[in-house]
Amino acid sequence: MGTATGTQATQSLFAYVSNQNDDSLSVLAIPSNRTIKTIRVGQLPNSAVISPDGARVYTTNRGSNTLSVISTSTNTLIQTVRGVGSEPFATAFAPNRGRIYVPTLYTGSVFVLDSVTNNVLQEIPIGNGLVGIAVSPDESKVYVTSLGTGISIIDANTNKVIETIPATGSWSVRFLPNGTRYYVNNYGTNLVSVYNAGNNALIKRIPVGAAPLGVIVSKNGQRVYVTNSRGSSVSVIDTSTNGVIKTIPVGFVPFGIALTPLNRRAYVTNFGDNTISIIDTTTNSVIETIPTGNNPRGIAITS
Amino acid sequence: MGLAYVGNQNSSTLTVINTDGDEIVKTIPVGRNPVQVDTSFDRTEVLTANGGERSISVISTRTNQVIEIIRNVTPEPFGAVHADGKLFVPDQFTGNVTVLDAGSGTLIKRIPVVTRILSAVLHPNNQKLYVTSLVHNIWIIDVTTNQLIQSIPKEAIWGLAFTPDGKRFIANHYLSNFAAIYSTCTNRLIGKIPVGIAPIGVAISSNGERAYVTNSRSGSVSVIEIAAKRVIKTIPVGRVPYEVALSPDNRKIYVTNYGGTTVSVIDSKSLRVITTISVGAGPRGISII
Repeated sequence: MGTATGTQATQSLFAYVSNQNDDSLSVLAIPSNRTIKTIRVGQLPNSAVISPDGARVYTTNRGSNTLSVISTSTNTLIQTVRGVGSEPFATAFAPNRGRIYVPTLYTGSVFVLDSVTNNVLQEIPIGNGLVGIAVSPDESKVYVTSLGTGISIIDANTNKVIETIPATGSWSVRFLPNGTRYYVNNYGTNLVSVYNAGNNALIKRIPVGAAPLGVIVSKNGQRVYVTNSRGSSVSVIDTSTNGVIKTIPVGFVPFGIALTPLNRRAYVTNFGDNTISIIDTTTNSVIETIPTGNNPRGIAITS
Repeated sequence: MGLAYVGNQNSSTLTVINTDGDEIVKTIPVGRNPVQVDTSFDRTEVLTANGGERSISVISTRTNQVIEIIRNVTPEPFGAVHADGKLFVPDQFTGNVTVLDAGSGTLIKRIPVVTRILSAVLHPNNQKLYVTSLVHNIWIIDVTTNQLIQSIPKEAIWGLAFTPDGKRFIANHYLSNFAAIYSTCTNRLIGKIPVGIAPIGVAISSNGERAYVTNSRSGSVSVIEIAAKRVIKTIPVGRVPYEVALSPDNRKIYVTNYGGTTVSVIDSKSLRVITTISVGAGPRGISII
């Protein structure tokens, strides 16, 4: 160590996995895939997201109705955020605005937090059954998916809903890195819908597996990966054609999905069988399956 | 005397309330995160579906003690309906209804039904199980053969309850904020009643005259006169009212306030909240015997 000046130091990567039924967050070292620590968080952690600066992990806890904030340098719980309604479901960041947005399932509101203090600043009532959220890459708008209200678009300057796109049963929403399009999965109709972010027009509906839940876009914008919770598979979409190029069998009830920074591996939480499937994105096949805690759901990987 | 069993999802307990005096008789630890409370067919047992540990707790209503825990049922059990000597357990994420032998707890069958199952309700004839979904349709399972026998085209429905004669049912259209009265025979719409926002739970009085609907985002209960097909009163309750049940004499209505730690008790004559009982955290399911 430290003598070979010509070689680049290998940076450690970590995956954070929320084990819903253990009230815990597992820290996995990549590429050994060993669990190096398990951190107790709030009740029923249903999502895990890393802040854009990489310093913190946020879990939403749909049982204790809190957010747990974990420091990635110490892997310890540093804060518990209350007052985010009944069943917080996801988090999205607008780093330049210093804001965090949290949609809440039963309250049907998006809570706006200060990203430094994590204080709740505002509650925006939206609609019935909010589940997913994404901030547009230019941070001008916040997109919220729901069980019944459609996709609600919030103006990030005014925190008011400016448009609602009819889309019953939409679960997750993710943007291409250049902000031109966004991808929404429809768990009821087994589709991924591609929208033009400029005018919110529907570009294409892509049939995927049964009951898609998780969506992630590769950092180069070339691929979209979707977990099909009732299909026990992951659909790989080529964003140049918006066609499915591969359907990869994974574990039982795949839920969350995260990519390593160079998009070499995709990690999929299998909520139904307490494992993670690790996909080689070059061959689009599962190369390893590792055990987790109970009912793994959210997952995020450091960059 | 009636006994109300309230499942506190986030305390992992069951609060037992005497419905005469509205005092807490006992608090029973059950499995992790009970999401629903059902009763056995003969009402000698209460069943909690424990969403946080894949299990079902069985509680004797005579001793108010846990007498059995059925484990490894399904990833996230969302109810346990006892019929024909079996337990029917819906799971919203697998989309299956798991059928267990009620005596031994052994697996009989997994019936693939639909994405995002929300509730399973037994018809008063005890032969058909109605399964509702957040996606579409009402799905009917024959409890004798364990077969899916029919799917009725409907929008997403959360709670559903039958009139005591089984001739009609009321279904909560969660996404469009109305309760609908349907004919069980024809499945036709008889009445469409606007209620509060995001209706979840529904209970019907034993004379079949009234229905009570919880409006989860309005923090209220709508009281429906079924014959008139209209709301006669909207009663403010706690945060995120979820499930609703009537005392055996129908004089009181119990509402779990999932967004807090209380149960609201409504007098069915005056239609006012007469008391609010502190229970555990996240009270969700309720059954009264």
